[in-house]
Amino acid sequence: MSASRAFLATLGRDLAAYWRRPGELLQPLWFAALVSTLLPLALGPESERLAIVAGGFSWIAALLAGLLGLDHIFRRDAEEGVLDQLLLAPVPLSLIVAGKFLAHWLVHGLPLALLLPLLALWLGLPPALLPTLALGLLLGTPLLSAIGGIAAALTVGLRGSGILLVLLVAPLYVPVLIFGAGAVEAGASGLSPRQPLLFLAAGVFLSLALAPWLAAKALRAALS
Amino acid sequence: MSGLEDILMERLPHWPFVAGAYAAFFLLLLFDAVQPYLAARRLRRELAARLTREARRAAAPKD
Amino acid sequence: MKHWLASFHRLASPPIFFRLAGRIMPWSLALAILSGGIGLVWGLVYAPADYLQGESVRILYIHVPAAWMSLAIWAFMAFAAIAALVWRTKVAETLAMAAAPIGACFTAITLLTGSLWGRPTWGTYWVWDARLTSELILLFLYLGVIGLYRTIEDPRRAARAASVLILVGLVNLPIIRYSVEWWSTLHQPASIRLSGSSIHPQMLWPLLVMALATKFYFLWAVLARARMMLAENESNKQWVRDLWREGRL
Repeated sequence: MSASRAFLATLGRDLAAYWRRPGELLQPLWFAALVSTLLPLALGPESERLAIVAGGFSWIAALLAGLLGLDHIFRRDAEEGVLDQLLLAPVPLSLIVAGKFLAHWLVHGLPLALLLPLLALWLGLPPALLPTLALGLLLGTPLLSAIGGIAAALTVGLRGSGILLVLLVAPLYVPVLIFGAGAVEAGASGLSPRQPLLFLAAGVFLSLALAPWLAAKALRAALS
Repeated sequence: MSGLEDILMERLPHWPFVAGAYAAFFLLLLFDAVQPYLAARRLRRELAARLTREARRAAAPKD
Repeated sequence: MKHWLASFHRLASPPIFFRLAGRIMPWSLALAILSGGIGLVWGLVYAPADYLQGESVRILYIHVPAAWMSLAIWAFMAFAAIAALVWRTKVAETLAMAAAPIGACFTAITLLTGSLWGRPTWGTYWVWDARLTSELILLFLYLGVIGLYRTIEDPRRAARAASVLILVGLVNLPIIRYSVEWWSTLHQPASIRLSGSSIHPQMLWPLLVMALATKFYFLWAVLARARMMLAENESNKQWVRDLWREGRL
């Protein structure tokens, strides 16, 4: 099987697997909507205060909701023994991993990136900041999937690894949070959000090159 | 003596912080530095126990 | 060249590494104590108090070297991690894992001393400033590496998994390094650069001597820890038993 076909086959297979459990797909979105309703309860309903924090809060919600789905990337394949077969497959493991990451982003990251700007608007984000937030989330969520995917690969062989996974991933998400929330912040104070958004884009390309390779290394270390 | 007093007077508002920082520095380094010695002691004990167990098993009459 | 490469390769053998590390360690510890003593006396007694910061500036003679070490040790671990993932040598894996607790220790020192310096000079123990926060994140990253290493039972697999984590965490290094220049916050930009420093030589020298002392301390500590970890992981092998019988463990 050629390398590109392996990539596409993994992508299609994972998408089909996600599609069979639509409930799981809704959970992160549901979670994001839920924490958005908690925010006014915690901070009080003054719309001015909510407008200030709405942008940064969307990023926190994206990070936390993104953590929820991470375990799905490899867990089921590991339990069913599929992963052991994939490790032996005569195609580069990094391409298979890349397919899994893309499938994960399409079903977990992309819906979040589309929903969260709307939730932020609902909380009172100034509409002028909407493109910045949406673009930042579109660039940032693939990074979250890639970084989280590497950590998920590291902990796939461990029993009860849920909390450890979160503890490992959260500090690694910091650069994404800094640049993503930084773009909204820059827009809010009348500066150009170009620089932080470009940093995010650079991060996407860097992770495109490195994340599948590192995740493949991680899988081999965790399973063989 | 008066020179020392001058220094102490001058340092008075800040010296607890300086002393605290240096104390934290040395305590943490000390904690870090004893770890290899503790590991070595643990390993020596474990090896001693394992080797005597093996020796006893080798010396025991076989049935 | 060939001879040098060959001897470098032999370092990957645990018994040879154990013996060589044992020979380097006393020198490195002696140099650390010597330079540390000089730096301490120089910084605490001879260096002048700062015009603005007063006596609390003396905290910087340990704070700044510790902060440098907290970053340098991660870089060291990253090199060892690459070697561990590419060549799969036990010594590289062990060195990477041995350095993590030392790095965590230096990061904790940086945070503690920095906060004790901040109270008299900034008037607060802690601000959520970019550099302080990213240094705290660095501590969590160190703890993550240690935690992952301890959770996986097989030490070699654990070391390789933690090596991947080290490489991913490398992204944070430039963020900490440049945080002060990217965001204009309370923490001042670096005053010591390769091309001309903005601090007085009477204060620069004790700082550099202390930095040297922390480097030698790290060399000693990482070798001591790596030696013991190797011996522990290989305690079933003959060379460890021989060492134990000769009383050299």
